[in-house]
Amino acid sequence: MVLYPVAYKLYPIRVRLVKDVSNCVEWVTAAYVPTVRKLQEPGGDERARIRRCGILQRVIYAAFTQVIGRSHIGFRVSVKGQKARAFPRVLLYLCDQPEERAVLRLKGGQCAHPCTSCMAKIEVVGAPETVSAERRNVMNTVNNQVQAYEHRQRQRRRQRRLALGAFDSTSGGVPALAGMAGLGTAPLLLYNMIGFDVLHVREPPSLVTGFCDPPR
Amino acid sequence: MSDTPPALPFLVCDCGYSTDVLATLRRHQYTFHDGLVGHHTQLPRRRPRGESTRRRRCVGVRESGTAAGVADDNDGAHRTDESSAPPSHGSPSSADSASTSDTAVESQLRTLLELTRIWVPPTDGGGAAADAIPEYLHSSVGLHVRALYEALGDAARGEPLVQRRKRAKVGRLNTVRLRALQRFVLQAGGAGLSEKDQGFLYEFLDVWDRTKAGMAEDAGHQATLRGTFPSVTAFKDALRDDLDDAALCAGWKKVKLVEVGVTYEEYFRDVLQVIRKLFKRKNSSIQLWSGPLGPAPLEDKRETPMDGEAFKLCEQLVTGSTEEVACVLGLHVYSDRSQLSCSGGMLYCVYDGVLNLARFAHVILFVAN
Repeated sequence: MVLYPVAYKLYPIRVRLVKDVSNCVEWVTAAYVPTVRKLQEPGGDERARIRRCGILQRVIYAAFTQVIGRSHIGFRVSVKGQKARAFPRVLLYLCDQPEERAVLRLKGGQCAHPCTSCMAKIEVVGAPETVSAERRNVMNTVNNQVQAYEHRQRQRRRQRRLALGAFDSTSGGVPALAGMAGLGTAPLLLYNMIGFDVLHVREPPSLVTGFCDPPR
Repeated sequence: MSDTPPALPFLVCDCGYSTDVLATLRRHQYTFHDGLVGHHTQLPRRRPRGESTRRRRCVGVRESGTAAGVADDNDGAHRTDESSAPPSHGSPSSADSASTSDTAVESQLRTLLELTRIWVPPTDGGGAAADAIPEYLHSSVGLHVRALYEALGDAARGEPLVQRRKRAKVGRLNTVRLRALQRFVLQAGGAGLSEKDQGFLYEFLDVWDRTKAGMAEDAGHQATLRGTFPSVTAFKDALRDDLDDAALCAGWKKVKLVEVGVTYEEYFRDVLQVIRKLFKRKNSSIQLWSGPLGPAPLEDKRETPMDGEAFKLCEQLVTGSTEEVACVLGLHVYSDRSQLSCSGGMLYCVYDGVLNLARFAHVILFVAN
């Protein structure tokens, strides 16, 4: 395979092994996501956003297909003569805020539930009571996303589809990583796996001393 | 209107030089006396370059006392028709010829300006700064334009493009092979090699010449490039084959995705294979569990990523659900897909002690006192 100079139009997805306790942190590129540009067409912005989210999910799933499968049944590993069955888990997904919403197929920008990890409403965000807001239910949200996706694929029950999207502020797709054990199954960490890349944050993280739902 | 200067009755220079034609007198004055110096000219004084030469010439003119002395200059540069004559072939170098030609053009221009322009007295209402610059009418538009740009002096301020290195040794790439190498270095990739790449190339050629100290020798030590690859095609094919093999061994695949009517090409490889290879390569530094002999309990220790709650929760579930010895293979994923350079997580102060994260407005952040 020869990569011609269009490579600058691709964005990488990298993975890192947590169990590597050496001081050398090594990120390995697993996939390249093509850039999706806005086209000159009616509703170009919305269509570009749909394409962008759809492509991202399909790229993630293509790269993680085997890992998602093995996360449920495991695979044999041998470390220093000791054999064990390893179960892959995605513990952290580093990205920036717009991509967080795209990875989880949630609505970006102004929506009823702008928080990823809880169901705080936009009317009360910023208020102290949101610290105790109800956590986002992974099973319910993903079920609603799957249902809305099925309706959209079959072009049926548009009102129901819109209602499902508005209920959880989802954007009409299904997050590919929801099929992974540990995220879509217990301990249901799908909405807790996102961590922001410090390179994408303007202010030093030392100012941040507490979250309503701290990343684990 | 012509650029030719009219005849005026000033025919004797202070230095004793005399002529019948005013233009010749002016040319003499600008050549040997740095022009007509005074507030009435807006042109800068001549550059000091070659000043000693001109003074030497002037001395020669004074000694001879004739215009012929000017024409019989040693290097033959000064001619009566300087403006149109090409540089003398008798000059020692092309740089000198160019300099002489520049001088001739400059001298002609200065003569034209001095003889044809008419000073315009300042009018009322103009600013002091504007009045400080004298205004002239010129005999032609072309001359006016030249005067304007000459006043800017851009060409005079020009500097050499590069500074020659101290003790520079020019022309050391003087054989056929070295010239070919030089051509490659200067033309490779369209813009030539960077200095870093030149270093790589030197290292490579050191190996290729079999002169690198301590290099290994094998069966192909004395083989030549043409001996191994008889043609350019064979060489390119060999490079491509190795590159393709590397991509295939790494497990890279490509697929066309159609999303809302548009086709995109995606490159990916199986993350599981990536993990297996990492496992194999880093086997000595892999730790199976969060504790030394098994899963560690939940605690506040945060020294490695395996100390996190997420990892330990997964570990408890995995080890408790199977009879086999099991472990969790934690993964971190990093994606830079978004084209935004910033997450939008801008912090700004709302009131004392409380910060508001703009895009996560429900998150209240307290500054530790």
